[in-house]
Amino acid sequence: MMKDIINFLDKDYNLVKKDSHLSSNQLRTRPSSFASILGAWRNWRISLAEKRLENKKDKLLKEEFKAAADGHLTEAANNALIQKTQAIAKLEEKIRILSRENVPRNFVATHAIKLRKKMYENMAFNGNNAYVVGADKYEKVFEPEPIPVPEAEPVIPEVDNNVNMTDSSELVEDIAASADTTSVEVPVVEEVAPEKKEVEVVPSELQRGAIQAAIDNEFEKIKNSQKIKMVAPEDVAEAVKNVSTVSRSDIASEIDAHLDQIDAPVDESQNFQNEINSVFADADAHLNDMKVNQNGSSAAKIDRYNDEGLVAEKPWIEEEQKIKDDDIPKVIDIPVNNDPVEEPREEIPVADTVVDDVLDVPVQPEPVEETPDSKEWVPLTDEQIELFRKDLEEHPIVSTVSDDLEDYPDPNVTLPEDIELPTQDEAVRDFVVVTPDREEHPTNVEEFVPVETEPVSTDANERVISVNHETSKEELEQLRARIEGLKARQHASKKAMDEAERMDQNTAERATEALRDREESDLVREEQIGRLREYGDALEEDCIFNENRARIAIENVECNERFIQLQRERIRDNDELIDSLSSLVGPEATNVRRR
Amino acid sequence: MENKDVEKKIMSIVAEDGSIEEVEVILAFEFKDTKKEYVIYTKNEKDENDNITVYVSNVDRSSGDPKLMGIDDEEEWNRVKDVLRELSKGE
Repeated sequence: MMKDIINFLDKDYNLVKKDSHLSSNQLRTRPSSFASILGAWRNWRISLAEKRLENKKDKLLKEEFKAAADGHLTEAANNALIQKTQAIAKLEEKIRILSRENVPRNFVATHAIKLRKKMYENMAFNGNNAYVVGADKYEKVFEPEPIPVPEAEPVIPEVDNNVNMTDSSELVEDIAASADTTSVEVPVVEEVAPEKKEVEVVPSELQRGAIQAAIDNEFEKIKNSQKIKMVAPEDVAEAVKNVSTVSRSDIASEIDAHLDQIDAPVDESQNFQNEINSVFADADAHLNDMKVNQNGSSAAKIDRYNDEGLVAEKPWIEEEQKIKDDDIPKVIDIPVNNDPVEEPREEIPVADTVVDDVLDVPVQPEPVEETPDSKEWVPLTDEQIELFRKDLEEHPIVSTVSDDLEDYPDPNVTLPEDIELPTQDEAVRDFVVVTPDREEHPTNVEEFVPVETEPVSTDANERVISVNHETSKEELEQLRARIEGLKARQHASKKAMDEAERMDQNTAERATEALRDREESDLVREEQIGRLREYGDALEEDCIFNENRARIAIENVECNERFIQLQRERIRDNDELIDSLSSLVGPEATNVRRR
Repeated sequence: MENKDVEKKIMSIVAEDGSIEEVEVILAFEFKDTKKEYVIYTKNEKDENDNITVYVSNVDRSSGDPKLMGIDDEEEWNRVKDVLRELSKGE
């Protein structure tokens, strides 16, 4: 029987502390089991309340109250009687409520929250919304406007136990409306600057058009200053026949090699990081290593063109460079807009109207800064071109890239799904009969489409033609994104594993510590018991010894008394003998004796 | 008397960071031999099978203020589970 093992308790648990996350053990119960447990405790509370009620009633009936001269109760007696009857009424009400069947089980979230004065102060100070507050009341409570100090004494309303506060939003509203934060030391309220405003730049419609036109003009200006002319796509293939560049397959293969190493175990996180960094560095290096053809032009890097074609006009161009007219590709000028290039640019109109604290400031485009990449490319010399050719002959480039993008399936890289990290409270122990529906999480399927490659050509004259550098860039970007996703995933999984290991370790340590403490306490207890036993034995021996001594002493005393008794008897006998002898001898003997 | 206080015993748990969480106590008892106090509470969490998650803690009042502690001892935990198992069957 449970009654023999446990005692039910009905204490107040208003505020309890919880030190660590592992301060409670979890169980899952069926609804019927949950109801039985709750019912057992409730029944005990009901019986306890009924006993108390009976006791109070009996006491009240037997109690005598003082009466005044007029027969009515005195004020003190009346108050005492009222208190006692109220207590009885509360108990009866409690029993009635507990005894109700089919009590609706409201969630805790809907329970009205009692705010003590200190709790409210802390809440206002910290600004932490630990309580359920309506979203519309959030600003009113936590970002209040300066509250005027009332003339009357400020009173922060405390929730009355007799008031049935069912709406937490109403409660917060009442508190916010009547609270006087100035009388309470709440630094957050004092620090709030309600008049803080931000300046927002919003160009008007007219200005947007002007701004856009100005931006376009600036870009046009920049292009024209560099005299860059667009090349028609159809001429690119012919124009870059002599382009020697790194093939897309090389880039892809190298990235694949790095990606293969991404699936390394968690322990190689440092190597993984290094690999990722190297991949990015290599990708950047490859992009930057786009070679310029012998004519000094390429689809990626646009050199200086004049009206007739590619001509190196810079003084730093070596005179040895020879450019054949046949090699000069025809370029087609594609003007950006219809405006003449040499027309001066109009200044951007500046409006400075302030309307309702919104300052209309038109956005001026920033001047384009010359970067090293924007400078004109240095055409390669013949020697350099020859070196490239030799290098290509020795290391022919592998793949052939066609203009038809359909040959290349889209690298359908899907980032992994969100990882469900184990929470701290998942040390679940099964209780009663709960059928765990364990479903394995679907494995994250990543589609990785390798770049198609063809066998190495033995013909040294074949060249890789990389037509669409932008496509390769997009692929690189996608690969980068994939790398980032994998990196994040690995980091998250590693973090989860570390957290789980740390939790296990903490649990094990606590268990061992508890065991160790118990063992030590047992040892100490045993030692104490041993000492007590020894002490008891010593005391017992001492007692025995003392008893013996006492007995011996008593015996000695008795012997002495007997001896004394005997001596007295002898003396008496001697006296009698002497008297008898003296009577026989006569008076002369008596005189002799007396002498 | 507020009906909800009688109907449900609410416990406010103060975490290390100062946040307060309100939970409902469904059972409180102590073992007669060890005099250790336990409280079982719930946050009304249900899983897909309508099973309710309950939390079991040991209440430590040695420092004055009540403090919730976990149950690390296997034997002690088994005893608590036995008690809950018996109560769930109904007396």
